Amino acid sequence: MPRYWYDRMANKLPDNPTEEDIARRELNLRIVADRKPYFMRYIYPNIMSDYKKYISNARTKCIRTFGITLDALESMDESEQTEEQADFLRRYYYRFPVGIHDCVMNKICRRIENEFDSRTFIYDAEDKFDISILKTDAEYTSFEFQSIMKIYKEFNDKLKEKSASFTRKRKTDDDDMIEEIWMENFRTECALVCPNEDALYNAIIDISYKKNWSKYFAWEMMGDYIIRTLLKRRNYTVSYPVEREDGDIEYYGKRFAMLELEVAHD
Amino acid sequence: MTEIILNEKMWVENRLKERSLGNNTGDTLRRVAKYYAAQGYTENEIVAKVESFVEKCDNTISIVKMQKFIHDVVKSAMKSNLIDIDSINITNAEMEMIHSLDGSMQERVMFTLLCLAKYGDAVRPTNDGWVNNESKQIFKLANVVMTTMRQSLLIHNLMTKGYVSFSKAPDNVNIKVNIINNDSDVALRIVDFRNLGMQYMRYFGGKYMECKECGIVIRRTTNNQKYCKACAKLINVQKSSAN
Repeated sequence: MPRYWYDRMANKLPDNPTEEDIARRELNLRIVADRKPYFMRYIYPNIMSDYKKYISNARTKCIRTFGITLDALESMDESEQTEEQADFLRRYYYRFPVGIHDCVMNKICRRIENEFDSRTFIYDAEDKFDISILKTDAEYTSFEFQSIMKIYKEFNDKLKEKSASFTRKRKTDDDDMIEEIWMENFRTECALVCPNEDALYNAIIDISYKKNWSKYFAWEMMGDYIIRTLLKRRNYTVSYPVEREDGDIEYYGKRFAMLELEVAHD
Repeated sequence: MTEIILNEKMWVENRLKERSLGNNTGDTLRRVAKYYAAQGYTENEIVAKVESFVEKCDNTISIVKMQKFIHDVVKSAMKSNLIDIDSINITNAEMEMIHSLDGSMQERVMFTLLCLAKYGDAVRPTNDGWVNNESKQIFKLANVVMTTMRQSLLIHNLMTKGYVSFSKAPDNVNIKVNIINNDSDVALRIVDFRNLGMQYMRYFGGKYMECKECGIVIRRTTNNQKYCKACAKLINVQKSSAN
């Protein structure tokens, strides 16, 4: 593909241009495909990244230069804009990293964007995960809670340290063994602080699930206990979906039915 | 965010002695590469030296995986010189201009912009007073905490007063400092680019001090305070281990 088809700067005039050269260059500059169309930012991640950076920087620049947001500047009537503001907008549209003209695909893209923008996804507090389904009736003291919180924070710090080291090198079998040893150390520490397993379990669930914190600690320390508690609540019955033609649940173009299985327990 | 170092030679020598990759591995290796380049080593020799340094810092690191990264870092480092600046001097005239601004936050931000611009000019004489650091870094160095909208409005205020200006490109957020005036006596020498806002405030009095361990300027919270929070914690840990 000739470079002048996609690179504006490649459209240069020769040393002694003729009328024909000038006309050809003007035509080329009008039709040069130096940027991808707007909708392609959803296909190429680097274009999305360039677009977002451009918009973010332009918004910052507008506030710094004029003291008003870019949206406010764009919505101003042309007659109200100063020369500098009009010049800024001209440059803003000229340097856009994607083509924003009203081609069919761009129109479809904007229509879909507007459709999603107009919908508000409300986070209903009522739908928040109910941690009472995980908990038992045992109670723990404030001292036990604070002590386990301390262990929780140490665990997360240790985890970050390990993750950083494993991005630099491949994990070996020895590393797995070392990891299991320090997991066991943490379990022992937790048991020492709170010997009552039920109370320890409730404290760990409260720490991990009440706020939107990492649940990894809970599952590493008391994973088996969580499963046992859930099974006990459901009378050791597990429900699972199976693909069936006459199933009452439709998902992803297929039909499923829920079956139940009684799990062996002590 | 790249840490701003005035004397890269001394900084690298400390890192080589401590065998530490620091908080930002890329920046550390880039400076180490520049250090060896300044001593006249060839590109291949510098790569070998940097790899050896990495192994000494952490022998669990896979050099094979880092080879491309190290090569890229060395190649980029060969294009620039080792920075060796004694200090950034702020003159009386500049301090007066900054002090005449309305509000301590504006003053701190403007002071920080001036320091960064002068640093840029010292590193690259053709810089001409431009600051291309991110907003986040500028406001962090200035010890000013505010929302991004208010940050932009503060800079807008500085622009309307003529202290700074911008390029015409709508997405170029670099800032040109217009108040550089080296034709005046030196009021303040900056040798440390941490907490520039607090260094500015200290110049005009107020309860500020230098940490006896790391030298950072901080706000004094008690009368007998000697260290910053980070150093105090480390020293406490060391004392506890000794006991």
